[in-house]
Amino acid sequence: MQIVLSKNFKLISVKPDSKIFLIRFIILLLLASWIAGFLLPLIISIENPFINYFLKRFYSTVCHQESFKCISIGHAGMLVCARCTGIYFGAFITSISSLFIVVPFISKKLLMISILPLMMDVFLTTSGVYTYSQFLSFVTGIIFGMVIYLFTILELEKFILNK
Amino acid sequence: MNKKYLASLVCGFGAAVLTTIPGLESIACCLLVPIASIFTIGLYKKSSPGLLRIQTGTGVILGLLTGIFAALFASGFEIILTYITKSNDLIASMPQTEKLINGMNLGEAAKESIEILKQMSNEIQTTGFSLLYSILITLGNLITYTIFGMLGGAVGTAIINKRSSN
Repeated sequence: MQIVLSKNFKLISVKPDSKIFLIRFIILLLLASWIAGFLLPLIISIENPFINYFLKRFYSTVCHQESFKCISIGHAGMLVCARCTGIYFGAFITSISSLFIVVPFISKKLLMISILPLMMDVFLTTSGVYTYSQFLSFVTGIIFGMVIYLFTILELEKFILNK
Repeated sequence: MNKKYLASLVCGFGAAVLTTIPGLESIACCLLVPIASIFTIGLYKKSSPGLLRIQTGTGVILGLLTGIFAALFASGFEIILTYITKSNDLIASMPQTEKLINGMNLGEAAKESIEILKQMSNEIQTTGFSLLYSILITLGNLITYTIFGMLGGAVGTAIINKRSSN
């Protein structure tokens, strides 16, 4: 593990060695299968009502699945809302890039800042200041997803490598 | 009781209660169980004054326990509510499912699965309980809540350790 310290930005970064690369790759695969699960109705037409019902039920434990908040293409819709999709996509994009680039150390302050747009969007749409926008929810979700992935990955690597 | 179990039990129960509130779920989304895990770690740290730093492993285990308790309580609440009301989202979605099925040319496997769904729906409407449905929702809850609980545990450990070091 190579640690690079940038004094100007007070940034500690970790370059992936082979073990870390493997951990990140496994996490990437897990994330990809989770995302593939909720994208399934868009990819293939599930004609088995039993699987259809329980797949929807499975994702309902982590998302409200309100139909107007779920991104849909044609007649098929995703199994999670635009905000959740954004969070998972943000984490997925970062997990791919973390295989090749240096992962910056994320401070708690930055984590709090990243959740602010998401919370503001929730608050402003709930209070009726503006109407719900899938695009805005998706974008604020992506920002939070990217930061939460970076924040969590270093901690998970520490746990798995027993450091 | 062990402090780990007690903190997880309290926060897991809290998360399970909150999942039953329909309006809240649309706000908290997938963050409810991770937030409960962060609270568990905070509670565990408060109950152990001598503890300066929480190991990531301990945080992940606390998150896992929170997820397990949340899943068990949430499933329990749903089973009880289904038993009392003799209705749930499966019953509500059945007419729509049947309408959809009638418009499709389905194979044997799909026809068998419709029969299973109808059987579960009948059991719920007559007795208020279906063993297969209860097993499936508990399994689903256990898988998702434990994953999100562990992630929340890892995040919570980092947040609380950083607060302590500051």
